Amino acid sequence: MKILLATYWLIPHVGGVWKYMTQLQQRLEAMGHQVDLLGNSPDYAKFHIVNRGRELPKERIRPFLSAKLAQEYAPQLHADRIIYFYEEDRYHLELSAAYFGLDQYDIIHTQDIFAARAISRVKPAHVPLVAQVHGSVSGELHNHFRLNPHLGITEGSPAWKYLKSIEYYGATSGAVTITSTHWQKNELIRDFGVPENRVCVFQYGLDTLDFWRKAQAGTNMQRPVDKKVIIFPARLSFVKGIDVLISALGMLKYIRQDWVCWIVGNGEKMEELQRQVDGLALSNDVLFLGERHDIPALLMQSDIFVHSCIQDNQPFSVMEAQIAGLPACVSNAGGLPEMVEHGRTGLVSPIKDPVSLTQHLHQLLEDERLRKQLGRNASAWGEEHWSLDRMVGRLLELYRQVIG
Amino acid sequence: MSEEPFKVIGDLYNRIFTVQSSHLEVKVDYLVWNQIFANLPKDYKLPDIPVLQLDRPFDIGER
Repeated sequence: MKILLATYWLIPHVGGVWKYMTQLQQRLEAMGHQVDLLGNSPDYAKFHIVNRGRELPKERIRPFLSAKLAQEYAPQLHADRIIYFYEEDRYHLELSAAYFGLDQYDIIHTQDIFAARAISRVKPAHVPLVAQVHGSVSGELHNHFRLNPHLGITEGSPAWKYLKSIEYYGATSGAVTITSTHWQKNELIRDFGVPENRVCVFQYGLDTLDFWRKAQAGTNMQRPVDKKVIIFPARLSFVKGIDVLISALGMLKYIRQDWVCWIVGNGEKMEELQRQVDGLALSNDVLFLGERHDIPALLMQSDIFVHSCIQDNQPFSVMEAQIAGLPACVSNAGGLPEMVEHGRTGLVSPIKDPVSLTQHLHQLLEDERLRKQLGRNASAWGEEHWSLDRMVGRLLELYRQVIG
Repeated sequence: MSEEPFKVIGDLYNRIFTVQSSHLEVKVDYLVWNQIFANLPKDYKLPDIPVLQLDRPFDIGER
């Protein structure tokens, strides 16, 4: 088969969607299929098929679109700058995809709502589209609007309604919509009116051979001899809830000091989180390691994994932590309770509840036997549940059904 | 792509816009736009009106 994996987001990129796309590409190509990867360039200057060297700079299109879609001709686009930003860029994707030519593919598999809607509008009728939803763009931005009332965007605002609209049209663009959690499926049905019979749930897979190869390559980070390591690998953004962990660590320090915390990642919240750490006198206890490419090896140096996010679907970081045999202290946001069973593979606390998280961390630091047992359970469950072969097998079966 | 593309008036491709306005001063790369235009479905329009009709209930039938 000739397969196009397409996203509106940046590729290459440090993030779950890119990781998913490359894992899938490698596995499908090893099976003899041909896979192209289409997405935004990291500098937003063009859309490209990154593994074929094909590209179309946006400047070849933008002046023309700006003239033809000016306010007097397309007032709906100008109701809010957020609408114009996403729509204009999506039209760039549509026109770029048409330029590259979609007739050559047996199937197209999009990775987000913007790409799904875009590709559905320009693909030939005979090329089937499978639309995967990895997260909720509108959910994330609606949260952002709620927490930033100074932006003046409320439920009646055009930008708010637009996000709901594009989420609906994106999620219903394919012959079938895939999501990895029942939480996400229910959200699509309940909040966006996506018909239930168009949504298919199956979990992600993880390339465990690659994970163990990276784990064995090691890291230059040395764990302290006499302290346990709490690790939180994540983009430093609001939705990851890293501030919740830092608040919890502020309390934990009053109870015990036999730990350090490694926060691994970059993001727009870096300065704010650093200030929070300084304010709680945790500068010697919480280390920001920045963006790293040795996360498997860092996990192997760690004792407890944390993911105290506000919203997430099925993060790779939790999967990797389970493969590494770490007990996970997670929030009950999104699809996390489908990944971590409280008291068996980790401990689950309510969203934005640093007190519960403190208690859970204390419990695992206090009870070595429990910590190791949860880690062993997590490892066994992870090996079974996150099989990449199983995921690819199910995906290929779905491709064949859709094509057939 | 060539450093000096052959340019034509963008109005040649007005068919894809819901509101067809004239901009004689706007030139586009002929090779790029010819290829885009050849591959677009016949009913393709900009902007994407269904997505922008924000006060109407969603309706798959009108996609």
